[in-house]
Amino acid sequence: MDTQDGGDNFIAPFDQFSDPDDADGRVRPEARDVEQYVRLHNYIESLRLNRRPQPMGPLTEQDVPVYRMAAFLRAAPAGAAEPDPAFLGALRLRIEAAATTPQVEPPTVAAPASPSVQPLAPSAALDLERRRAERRMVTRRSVLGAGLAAAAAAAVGVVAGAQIQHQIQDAQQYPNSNTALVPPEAGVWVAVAAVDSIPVGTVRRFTTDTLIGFIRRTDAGFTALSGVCTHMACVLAWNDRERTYDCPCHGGRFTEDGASANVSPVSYQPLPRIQTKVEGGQVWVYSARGPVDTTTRAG
Amino acid sequence: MALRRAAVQHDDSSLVASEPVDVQSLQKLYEDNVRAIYRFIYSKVGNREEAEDLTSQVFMKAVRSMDSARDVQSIQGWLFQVARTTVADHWREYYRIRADSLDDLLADGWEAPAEQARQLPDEPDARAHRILGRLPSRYREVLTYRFLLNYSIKETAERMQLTEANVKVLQFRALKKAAEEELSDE
Repeated sequence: MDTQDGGDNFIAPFDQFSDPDDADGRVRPEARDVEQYVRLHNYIESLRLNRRPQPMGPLTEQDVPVYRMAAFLRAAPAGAAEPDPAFLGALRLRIEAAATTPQVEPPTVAAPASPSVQPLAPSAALDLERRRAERRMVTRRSVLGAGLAAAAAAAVGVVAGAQIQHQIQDAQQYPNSNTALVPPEAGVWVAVAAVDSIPVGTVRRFTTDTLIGFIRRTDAGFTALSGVCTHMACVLAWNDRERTYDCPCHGGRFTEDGASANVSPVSYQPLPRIQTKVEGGQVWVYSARGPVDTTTRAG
Repeated sequence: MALRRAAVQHDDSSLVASEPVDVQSLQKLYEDNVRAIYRFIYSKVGNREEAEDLTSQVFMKAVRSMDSARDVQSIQGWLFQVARTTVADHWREYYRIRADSLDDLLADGWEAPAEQARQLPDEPDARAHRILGRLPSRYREVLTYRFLLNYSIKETAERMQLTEANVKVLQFRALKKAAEEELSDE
């Protein structure tokens, strides 16, 4: 019918996009319009799947109201825009963590992920500040109440995946910074030893459901490192004579602080740090949470 | 920045004593407002992933810059302002909207800001029905299927006896018409 498009081979594909409002089918949308329809369609389909739509190139002034209307209508049915309780619980914890962490020093480049990731503390003063922050975590838990904390903790386990992914990426970007093994809000405190059982200057290996590590006691207090070789995951042994962690598999060696030792045959990534605290005469470590039972998530 | 100042100026014992009060008012602010903020943002972005992301951004901004001396009403209004600008920034960066169309977005949020800040936005359900009610019947029909009932293209095409491609055109035109009607109201 309409030959303005310039040839029969144009008619067939455009035919499927003929204007359904126009009975005699005289109006043919141009190629640009087809692109618009497809682009909008993809946007709407992402919304239906509750996913972030793909970036679709610059939106013009004419486009914007159309897309906003789509988003608005998507939210309109009763109950469509209700937040996921797991999301609400996880965000609440993040906010409380951000609110109770003091910003005594400006955030370091090595820890970009969130304000509650604690920087490495070589000096006693910073170590003291870290212990203050850890005490505040206890206060926060008592404010929440045990039941709500458990429900929120279960919720965090389910939702923390995305946040952990971010922090994995950040950790890989800064491999020399002794990044924390267990991201904040993804773990649980576990008591591993009585304070009195670890004299100053000693190193002890510990095991939780999910981690193997070493606790070290110095004059300044306790620190802990992952006990798994960053080369190929063999379990390390503490060498008290040389003050190194030795790998039985390929001769890898790490200093007391977790850095790859000079005498190591290959330079390995530093051992990730595990957070510690002292409470009730026990040394606690921040261990990874075990599998979460999602069927009993509280609202 | 009341929470931050407390951390720096006081000694250790009063930190522990004063912290729970500040944390509690933050918790209350969160519990009282997070659902409304989420729904508002959801009505602007239409999907859970972005709504969660942007809601998190709003409250993280609130933690960093909230002055707890403000009264509750103005904090709520402030939260909605932050939500509006967060959504506008997101649209500008992610969808690369040109600056002139951004004015349109902001204009929607800045209309009678003092009043609108206090009121929660209209129930989306009622407003959606009002919008659809004014459309020609085929436009109303396709939008009802695609958005209110959440049908796929295929299901919608079957019910309306159109090709799938036709439905794609129709939904575009229906949304465009609905948007024009809304704009002409304001």
